[in-house]
Parts: sequence; C-alpha cells; structure tokens
Amino acid sequence: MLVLSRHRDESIMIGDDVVVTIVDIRGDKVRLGIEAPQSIPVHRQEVYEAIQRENRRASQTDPDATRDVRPAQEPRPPRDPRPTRRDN
Amino acid sequence: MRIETERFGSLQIDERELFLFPHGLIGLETLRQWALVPDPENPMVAWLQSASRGDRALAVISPRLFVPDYRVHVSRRSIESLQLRSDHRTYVLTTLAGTRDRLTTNLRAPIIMNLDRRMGCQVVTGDDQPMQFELPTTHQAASRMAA
Repeated sequence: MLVLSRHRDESIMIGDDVVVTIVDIRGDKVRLGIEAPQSIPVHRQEVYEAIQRENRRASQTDPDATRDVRPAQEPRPPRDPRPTRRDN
Repeated sequence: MRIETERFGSLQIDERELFLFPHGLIGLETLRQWALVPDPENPMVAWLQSASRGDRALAVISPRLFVPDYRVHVSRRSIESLQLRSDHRTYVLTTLAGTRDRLTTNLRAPIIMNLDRRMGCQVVTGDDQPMQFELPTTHQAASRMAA
C-alpha cells in the first residue's frame, strides 16, 4: 500500500480526475473531501461491503419465501367519491 | 429477447423494457441490464432479473407500502446517472432477503429507477436506515395463530 503524509487542506490526486482532500483532522477522525467523476461511485468501505452482502442474500432468496409478504395494514378500500345522501 | 432464467423459466422481454444500470448493483457491478418482472404469485413483490445472467434475480418491494414514512435522502451526485427530470416518473424499490419465516428489506440501499429513461441505480441513503428491516408476513401471522 502506498502511504503518503498530508496536512489539513492538502490533497492527493488519483489518476487525472480524482482528488482526495484532507478537510479536517480531529483526534482519530479525518474528514475527507472527494472529487471524482460521476461515473465513479464513492462509498464508505464497511457500508459497501454490508450492502454487497445484503444484495448477495437478496439474490439467493427463494421465490417461495416472498409468497406471504403483505403490508401490515391493508390498503384502504377505495371510497365512493359521491357518497349517497340520505334525505329524511 | 429471451432470457433463460433460473426462477421463472424462459422469459420473453422487449429490449426496450430493460433498465440500464450504468454502475450495476453494489457487488454486482458488471450486471448492467435488468428487467422488472412481476412476481407470479404475490402482487406486492416484483423481481429484478438480470438480462445477461439467468441465475441472478433480486426480489423487490415498494417500501412505502410497508413503511409509510420512508424517505430516501441521497446526494444529487449519487442519482445523476438516472438523468432525472421533474416530469419523469420514478420507482423507489428495496430488495428482499431471507426466508418465508423471516424476510427483511434493505432500507439503506434502495434502488431508484427512472421509468421514462429506463435507467436505474442503487444508492446508499445519507441517514442510517436499517439494512435488515423485518417485514410482516401472513405466514408469520398464521403460525402465531396456530401456536
């Protein structure tokens, strides 16, 4: 792994279109600013890996498993827009 | 085109109906073309079926039917690939995973689709939504009644 030292407000370039800037340093937390083309998705690694696991789990779901999914509340029955008026 | 699927047999799909996911799905980045197929048995469920891999399909739901106050908070950047305009119609869908007894949906990484441009992407919400939100099923209710 390439290791570089940077101060606050300094940046590194990855290729010619990705810039990572050290925005803030507080204790053991570093805030990074990332400029990258829209074609490059940027994710926090642990979140990316967790979603990857969820997608894998989802792609292994058996059609039988989804048979009984229903919203907790039944959709409301459609209301008659012109309720009958009782004249008496 | 015809897709030989593992779950639904041979599917005939109009290529114009396919959705292009320029970044694929998270962890499935190479699969860029997906069809949205209704579940044969449950009208609440649909499947995103990969056009190139018959063995890749993910069950999806419309999360607001289950979590009425669900809102997706994402950066403009993360949905740029959808080419959304204000008059375009969109779908917000979340994936289903698990078994008949315990089925969960991933509210942290919804799939957003532009129905007019036939584009899709999976985003990560800015707020800390659950990745395994447990869904009620009639099967659970039935087994609780039987117990």
